[in-house]
Amino acid sequence: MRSGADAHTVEEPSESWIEQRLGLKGFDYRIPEGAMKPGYMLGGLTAFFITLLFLTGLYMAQFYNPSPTGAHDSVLYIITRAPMGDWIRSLHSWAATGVVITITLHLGRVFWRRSYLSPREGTWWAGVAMSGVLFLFLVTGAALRYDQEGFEALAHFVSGGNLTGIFGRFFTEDFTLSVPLLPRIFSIHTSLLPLAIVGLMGVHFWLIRQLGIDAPGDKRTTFRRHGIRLTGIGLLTWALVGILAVFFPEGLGYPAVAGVEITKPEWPVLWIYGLENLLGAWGMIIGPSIVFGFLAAVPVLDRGTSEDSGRWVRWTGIAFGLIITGLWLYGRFGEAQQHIGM
Amino acid sequence: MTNTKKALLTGVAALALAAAVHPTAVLKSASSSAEAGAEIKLLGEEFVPDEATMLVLRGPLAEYELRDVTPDADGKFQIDLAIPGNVRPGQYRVVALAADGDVSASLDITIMAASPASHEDGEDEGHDEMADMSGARSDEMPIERSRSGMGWGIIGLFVGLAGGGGATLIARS
Repeated sequence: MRSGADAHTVEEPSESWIEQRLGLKGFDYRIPEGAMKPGYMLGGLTAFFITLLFLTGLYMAQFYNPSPTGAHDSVLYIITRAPMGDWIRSLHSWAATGVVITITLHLGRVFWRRSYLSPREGTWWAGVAMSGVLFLFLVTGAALRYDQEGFEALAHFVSGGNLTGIFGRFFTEDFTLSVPLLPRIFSIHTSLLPLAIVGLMGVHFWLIRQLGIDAPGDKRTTFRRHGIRLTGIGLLTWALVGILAVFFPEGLGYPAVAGVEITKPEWPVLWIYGLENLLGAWGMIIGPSIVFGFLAAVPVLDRGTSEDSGRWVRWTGIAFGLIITGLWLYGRFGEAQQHIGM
Repeated sequence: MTNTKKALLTGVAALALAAAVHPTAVLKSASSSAEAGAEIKLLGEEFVPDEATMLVLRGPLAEYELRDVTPDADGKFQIDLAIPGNVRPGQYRVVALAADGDVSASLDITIMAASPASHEDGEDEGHDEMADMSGARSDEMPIERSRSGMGWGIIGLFVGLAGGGGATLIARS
């Protein structure tokens, strides 16, 4: 018979079975209610697309042959014979398009709202670094298809490597005699870059958690609620790319012929193609260097000490955007040119 | 004898029989690559003596029947194997198939494009290089895509679960 003053009173659990074991109460910290708007979920949406890229990429890697003699046929095999290969490859391509769109919108929004100001410089730099890694994902992935366009993408790596001397030696055939460049590009695309993006995402999310979401309003809600809505929107985008992959499947060019440059690159890097039309092969080094260099310098150029510095940085960003748009249009609608000696 | 023991003995006997029917055979070649239309010297060892074996060239997209070969009493053979001239360049596997269709042995091989014929009239080879280069194409290949009923089902499941789940979570938030 228990005494009236029992020191070991058992409390009724307030969490569900799974909440208790996964520590989901950790997601109940307070964030601004303004963060519930879709505009504050663009970064998270990018993470959803990256997850889909990992899953579909892992599947395709089981069938892809990274050797120069087998790459193109293995891609054809993925499309025509691997179970669900055509749709999964198209999912991968559309998810990559989704990443480009959401990362551009996310970066632009953070830039416009000056959310890189102190104390969030580190968050911004981790984000810019991730943008660079995603850019490398795009250009290395383009080479792997090893059709005419993919071969020319690989040739750009070699050309860029030759232009940059010791810094670019890794991207040349001279780096090693033991393995051609294509398998090394495949290795970068499937191991080095995924490691980098996961590490940077960890830093980025940690800093957001510690420094808070820069969103307006005094009303508060929980991050759990933000996460639920974000997951919902993320799953809807997965459904959308699933449908797009059915009706607009990714194609494949003919086996490559060396010595000619007759294709244009994927749409996200057409502005670099336009710059190459003007500057030659150096355009592919100068263009991304200037853009990412400016992005990295933004928290230094605008420390938030005056509205003038913010205005100046904003207008510079707008100017860059207009220039890139112009170069993109030139690359898209101008005639194909040979930029590199192949 | 109990039923369990009978089942175990039957299984062991089946394994032994399978091993006896397809001993580990070996295919060897001096070269790991060949041009389409050329011949390679192929050596076979440890095959079932006097049992005909079909040699097939298997690639990721196509398969070519090559020829039959019958090993001698020692289970060996040595032949000049002709690679068909219409084989696409790429990585292939020469496969030896037993009478029941099982693979007895295999050998990886790279098939290269046939060398262009030499020009006896002394025509400039640079002109031939330009002709090769003009074969480059920037358009996409026509690819026949087909999807099984199960494939459509998987796609429908993915879209349905993602879409329905997403809408539900948004409504709950």
